[in-house]
Amino acid sequence: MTRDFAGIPKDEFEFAGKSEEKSELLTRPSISFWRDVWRRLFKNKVAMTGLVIILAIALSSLIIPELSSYSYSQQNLRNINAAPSSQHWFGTDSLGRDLWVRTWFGARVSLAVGIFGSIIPSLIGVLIGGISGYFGGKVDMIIMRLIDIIICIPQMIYIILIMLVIGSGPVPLIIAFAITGWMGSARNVRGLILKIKEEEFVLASRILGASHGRIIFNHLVPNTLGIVVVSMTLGVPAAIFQEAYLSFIGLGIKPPIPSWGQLANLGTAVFRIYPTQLLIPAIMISLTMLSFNLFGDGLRDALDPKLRS
Amino acid sequence: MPQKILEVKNLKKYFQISKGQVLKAVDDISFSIDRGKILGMVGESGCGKTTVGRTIVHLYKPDEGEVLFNGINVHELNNKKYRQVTKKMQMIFQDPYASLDPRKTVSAIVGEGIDIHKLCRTKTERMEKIYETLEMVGLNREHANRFPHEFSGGQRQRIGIARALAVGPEFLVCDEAISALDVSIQAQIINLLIDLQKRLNLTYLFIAHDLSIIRYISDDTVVMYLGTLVEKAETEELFENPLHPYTIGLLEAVPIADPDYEKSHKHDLLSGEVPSPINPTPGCRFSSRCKFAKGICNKETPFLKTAGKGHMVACHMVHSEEW
Amino acid sequence: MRWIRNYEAEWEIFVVTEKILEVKNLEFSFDTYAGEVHAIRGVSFHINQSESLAIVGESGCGKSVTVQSIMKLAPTPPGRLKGGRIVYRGRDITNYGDRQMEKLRGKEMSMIFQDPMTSLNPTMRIGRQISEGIKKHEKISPEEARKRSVKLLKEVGISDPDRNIMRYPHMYSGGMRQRVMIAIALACNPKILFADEPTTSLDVTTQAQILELMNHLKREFDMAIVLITHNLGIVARFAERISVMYAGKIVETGKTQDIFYDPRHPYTWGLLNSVPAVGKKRTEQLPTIKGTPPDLFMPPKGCGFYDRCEYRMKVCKENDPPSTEIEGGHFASCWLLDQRAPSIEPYFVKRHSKENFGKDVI
Repeated sequence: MTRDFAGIPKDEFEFAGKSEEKSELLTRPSISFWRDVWRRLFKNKVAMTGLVIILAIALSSLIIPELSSYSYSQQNLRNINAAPSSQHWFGTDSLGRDLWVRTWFGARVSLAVGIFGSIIPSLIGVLIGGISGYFGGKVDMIIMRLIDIIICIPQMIYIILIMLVIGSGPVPLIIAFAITGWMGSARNVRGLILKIKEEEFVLASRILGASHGRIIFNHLVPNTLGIVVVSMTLGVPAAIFQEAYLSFIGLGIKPPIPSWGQLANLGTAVFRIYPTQLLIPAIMISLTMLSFNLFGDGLRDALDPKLRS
Repeated sequence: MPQKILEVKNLKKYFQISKGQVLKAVDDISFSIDRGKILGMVGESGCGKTTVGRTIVHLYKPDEGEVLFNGINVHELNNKKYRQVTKKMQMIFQDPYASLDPRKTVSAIVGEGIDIHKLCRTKTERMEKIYETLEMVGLNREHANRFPHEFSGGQRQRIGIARALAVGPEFLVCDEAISALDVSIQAQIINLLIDLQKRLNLTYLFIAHDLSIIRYISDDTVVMYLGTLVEKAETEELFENPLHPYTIGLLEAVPIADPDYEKSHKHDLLSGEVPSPINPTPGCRFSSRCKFAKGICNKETPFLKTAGKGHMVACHMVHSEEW
Repeated sequence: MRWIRNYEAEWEIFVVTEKILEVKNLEFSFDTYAGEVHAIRGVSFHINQSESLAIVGESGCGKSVTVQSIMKLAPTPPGRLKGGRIVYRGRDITNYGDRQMEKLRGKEMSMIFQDPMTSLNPTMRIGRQISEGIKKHEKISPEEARKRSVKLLKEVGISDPDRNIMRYPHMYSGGMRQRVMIAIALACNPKILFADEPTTSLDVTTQAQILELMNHLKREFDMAIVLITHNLGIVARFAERISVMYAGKIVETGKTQDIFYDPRHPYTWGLLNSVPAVGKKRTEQLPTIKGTPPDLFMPPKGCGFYDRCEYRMKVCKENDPPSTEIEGGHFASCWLLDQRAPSIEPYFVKRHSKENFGKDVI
């Protein structure tokens, strides 16, 4: 395709006037950081699926036990170990309790322990790690060495010891997680703060005369929020699993309050004969953990500035 | 108002890297800047120019020596006075991408100084001042609600300048403020800085490694090497008549945008590389690469001595008889 | 033209000409989430044997992508070669696949990058990184490879090469790592060396040493060098010919003297004006190019520089100017060169050594 340049009339070769300053105008609509994150997250179908499942399970856990005619502790010794039927959608356990209600009430417990058991230690970690990273020096050194020492002993042992002292149940479990689970978060946040503290925009604030408080709340917190939220989200499956494990070995949530771990424990005893009693809680645990992981991954990707378009 | 807006006296700033390893970033530096002038500071990596800049704006506390602003040593002031004085000294940074908080709007960034020092009483007054400052740097009102990532490098640098201007400074440290920009954008920002300097009677410490820009913009120039000041003079005098072997080597190394000159001129380059500023050897820091070095250069540190009108050099050989 | 049978490369036949690389109308795009980025929109240039060509331009103009697409190092996807031809020593390598390119890379054409900190493998000793390339293209014994590595390290100015062969990259400074990178690139005597901003992250004095080294090696190894940079000083010192790029196209090409002393494209004028000439002080404002480069998602139909050009004409908006020869290898793409265009006195700061330098003038 050759253009006929010779055919262009001479009057085209007149000056067209000075260039306007329109090049300084920005064409794309303004979008705040969090709105942008949400937009990218929304596009991620896998992450959205995870979120939908989480919300569905959470909602069900709140509504279904209220609608059921059975309570989670109601026993019916005449109808033990029943298979799923129209009366008992998930069947009954060895004490005749309705497994449908127990599963969904257990969802409440497991989710609550999982979510609070991840959020609270994260927040404690943010506080301690933040102080350590921001002030540096001796404070930082003392806190970090303390963490190094504490972390030598596996978390499970601490939890078991604590639970032996304060007893079992959802609230003691959350307390145990809170006391023993903040170290990883503290280290991460400390590292982040150390890095951001030296960024030029923080230095600029200092030169402008910003106080410590202003720098922390105005600059450091918003810039670490994303990562903290991601690690909180990804910490939930771990907490759920820990609860399941503890309940499974008889320590976490004791009957009659159901939790998925406890249901799994009870189900294992009769696995060979009535497999559904183990399969149902196992599937619920796996599905919930997977959903949180998928959503957390999607959240992390959405927050990654390198992938900005 | 004292004529010397900034005086740096025997400034030392060391960093302890680990046991027994001391990074002598700035090792006994003295210079001063007159009000309304631009001082250019050149040097390569490890010379300490960034540390000097940051110590001047109080990000670091000097280990020895003092920094006097308008004759006052700020570290001797109480909190309230300290803030009043220090807001008159601001800094422009090198990296237009890291120097703005990505989570904040332009008006929040530019308005931060106004908020900290409570310079405006009402919200409208504050917004007006922000718009005014944006217009001063060549941006416009519509930009106030946008976020840093929506701007180009040159525009972000303008936002950084606006942020510094909003508090009404008298003195600006430009720490490689244009090095990360494209050539044609550099020219725009330089013009802006010069224009602002004239309009607001500002004083600049202009830190850079691009010698052609330094030659163009600064009244006086100081050359730094490994934490020490090796030469200072009026800019034209320094470039026409460099005396310190390092300055000579530096000028030889910098290519000039003039092919006839470059192709016809034999370049006498320095050998070796800049040594580490950690635990430096005694004597003149440059002696390891200097072809004129003699015994004394490894033993005694040379001090700045006059070698012409307003021209000072720190070199044993320059001041000796045989030169 | 001579036909040469190169046994080591398994019956590859090359033709020896003056032009060793010819790029014609190269078009390369990236397919992104937000659309197609027309990174290169029709680039033509050539490089002769043993010459140094500089490709000059600012960020986003496409200079790195041009070289990466020649070496086929740009990831495809999302990159895509849309059109044009690449002819290396008489052979059309435009559609060469990976395996064919592997034979060329290292042996015929080589590349060094900007950041020596990340371009070397931190877990491999220097000597091995050099001999790795040699062993790929030639069948030689390890002892022979080691000897060549030592020789190469010496060539690039690293003292005590026998010991340094055994060291790891982290033990070196930036300048020395860059020298090692050059040694690796030269290991198999390539005919072309592409250098993408090789000195940008180095100190000024080190930069000068590396440039001098490259010049020396060019003569030693009889090698052409394509230097990508935005630094006009480096170009003045190092390059024999220059191609100026803007918005994915080459706007002007010519000998270094032509570009600096007789530029014909308004962007070149603007670029040269942005660098303060010796003797100018800040009392005179630097002439600048207003605005910013165009969006390559929707490249302009006419001249890419239209929005920012002080001398634009009506014809420039809709019509992309063809490359016009001014004289003897000096080309520019601008409608001002057309006979129908009015003649103008461009505002362009002349820089000539005789006026501006007091000493050492030849």
